[in-house]
Amino acid sequence: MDDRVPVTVITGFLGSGKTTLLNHILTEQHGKRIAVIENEFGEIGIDDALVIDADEEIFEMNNGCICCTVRGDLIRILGNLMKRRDKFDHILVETTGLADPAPVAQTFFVDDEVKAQLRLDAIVTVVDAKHLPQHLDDDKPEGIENEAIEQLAFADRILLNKIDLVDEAERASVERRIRAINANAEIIPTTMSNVDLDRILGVGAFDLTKVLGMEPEFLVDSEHQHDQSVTSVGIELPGGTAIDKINDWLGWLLGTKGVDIFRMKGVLNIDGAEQRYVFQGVHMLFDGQPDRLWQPDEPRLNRMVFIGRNLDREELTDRFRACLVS
Amino acid sequence: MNVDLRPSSGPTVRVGDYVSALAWSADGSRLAVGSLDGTTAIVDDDGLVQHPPLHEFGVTQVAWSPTADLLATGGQDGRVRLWSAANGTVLGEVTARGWCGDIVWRPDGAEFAAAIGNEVIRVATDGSEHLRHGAHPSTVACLEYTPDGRHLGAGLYGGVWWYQGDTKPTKRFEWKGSLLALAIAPNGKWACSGNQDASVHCWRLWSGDELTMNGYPAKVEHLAWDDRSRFLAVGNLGEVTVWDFSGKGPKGSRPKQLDGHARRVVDVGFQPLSTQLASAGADGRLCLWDPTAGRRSLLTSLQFDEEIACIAWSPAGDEIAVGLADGLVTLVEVDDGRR
Repeated sequence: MDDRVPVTVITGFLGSGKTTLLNHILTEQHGKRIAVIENEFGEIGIDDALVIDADEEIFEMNNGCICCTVRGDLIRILGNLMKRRDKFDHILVETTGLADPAPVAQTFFVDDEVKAQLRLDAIVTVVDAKHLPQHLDDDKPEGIENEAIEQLAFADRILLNKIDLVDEAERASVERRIRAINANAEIIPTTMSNVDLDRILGVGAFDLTKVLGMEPEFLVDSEHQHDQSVTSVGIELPGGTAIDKINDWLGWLLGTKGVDIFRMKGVLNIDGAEQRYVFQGVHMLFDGQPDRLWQPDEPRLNRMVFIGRNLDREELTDRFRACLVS
Repeated sequence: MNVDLRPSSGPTVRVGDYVSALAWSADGSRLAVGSLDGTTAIVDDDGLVQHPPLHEFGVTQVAWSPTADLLATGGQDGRVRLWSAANGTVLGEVTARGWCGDIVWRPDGAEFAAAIGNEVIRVATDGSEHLRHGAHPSTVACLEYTPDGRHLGAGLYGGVWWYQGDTKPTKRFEWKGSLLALAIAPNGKWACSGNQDASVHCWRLWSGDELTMNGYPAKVEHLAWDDRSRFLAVGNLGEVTVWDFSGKGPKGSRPKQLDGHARRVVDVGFQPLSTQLASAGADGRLCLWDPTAGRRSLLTSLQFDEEIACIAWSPAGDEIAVGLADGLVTLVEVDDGRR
């Protein structure tokens, strides 16, 4: 059993309802020991929660991986929290409104001490249903990321907050736009960030062995694909794959597409193996392992999801198809 | 050679949580203990314990003056205090935003430097702040004076910033990466850093010639020099490596690898005036090594029931204070027939 302490990362623009969500969690989870690592001045109204102020310190890693950045402040704070006998049940990390979620996520892949004692449970992104479209449409200078898009792309759960401020048509439109970027995350409409906590805490989104939920819309180009540079691509193919070809494919994928891939997750059917092979990754960081046995009646499908920038569905699919044992 | 480690029959002390810092007074008569529950304890030969007030949330540093009866403590409350160890009076307090990452005394005992958040503050022996090296681009993780006391090095993400009497740095050794530990050779010839990206980086003082040791299994947080500046010990995941800086230096050489720990090494320290090395692990094992020996470099070891948090050699080298993760501090006698 994984007894590492779960960490939930909460991202979202200023004013989207992050602090309200934090207060909601702390109120509902009263009695649990929760530490909050805050990067923005918020008003946490719960006295018995441990609130730690931190400055986002983004460190580039000197490990040959060009896009590998981590949060230095988090490594220090989390390492220290875990030394205490007086353990926490859950840790919440709130990012600043304009934060790129990649360094937070990568911290959990890169630092041994963090990895050994804590598990990234999920990235929860809170968005303002009314104002999200205009944030998505913000023109950014060349080379500068639109943070609203990044935060959606990295999310496992998206709180579509302030839903009471939009009508049905607006709501449907904003959901479509979110889906076009991230077809994998569960979208939860809320007002005042009021969400059933079981839907966002303890979800195990970074748990390799959790079943990969694949929405059918992953497998086809979405209608908005033409005006979005960040998209989701799903691949589902039957048949066994050759392990050496898979290794080459992974090398190609991480080496040439790693910068563009925000998140990926998948299950592979390795030819000759009785166990499923599961993997996930953030940019160039990759984590994979053999999982449970294939069930006798289970179709041996290779299924994977990529969320990222400039993803070419055809190229990804063709390259993967070449790994199949003919 | 027969060497024995045995738990001392002397006083033990228990603090409320993880032992985050240990420091002996210069004369070896007292031991200061810091804990993540926020308490500091000062224990003397008779086992009498004195508790200076709390650092709310946790103590990170305790440091005795090398020349006077003064103790500096720092915590996660962003405060650093200077105490008279004799009567417990607070002589002064300095603060900044963030946690206290390190405290070091200048070798002549005339001042100490404290890193809090991204600032470095220099404090005189009357407790007054006399110099502040402000707003570094990231948190200052480690500090070290050169043995002559003329330069203060601050390690952070991006390299080592060197200070003298001015608020501005006099020199910077740039390095792309996050520094976690800094150790200057007692002969003043090398400054070495342990880094987040699992490497050790060394600069020759003051030519700035550089040397990197890569390929450690995990981030490097624990470094120690022996008093004669021959060996640099590096504590890492399950192993200690020892680099030999004698002769032409370690360039192109292989370090001596000491395998004695099943888990992370949490502290390393050479016995004063000796090349015997103590290493402590999260596996609860305290090992004593002779890196100059051939194959049989492990002299002896002692197993604790609990994860070790940190260790400190007594100034005379006859005892090792061992702080455990559950808050217990024990003294271990080192009987090596020298005394």
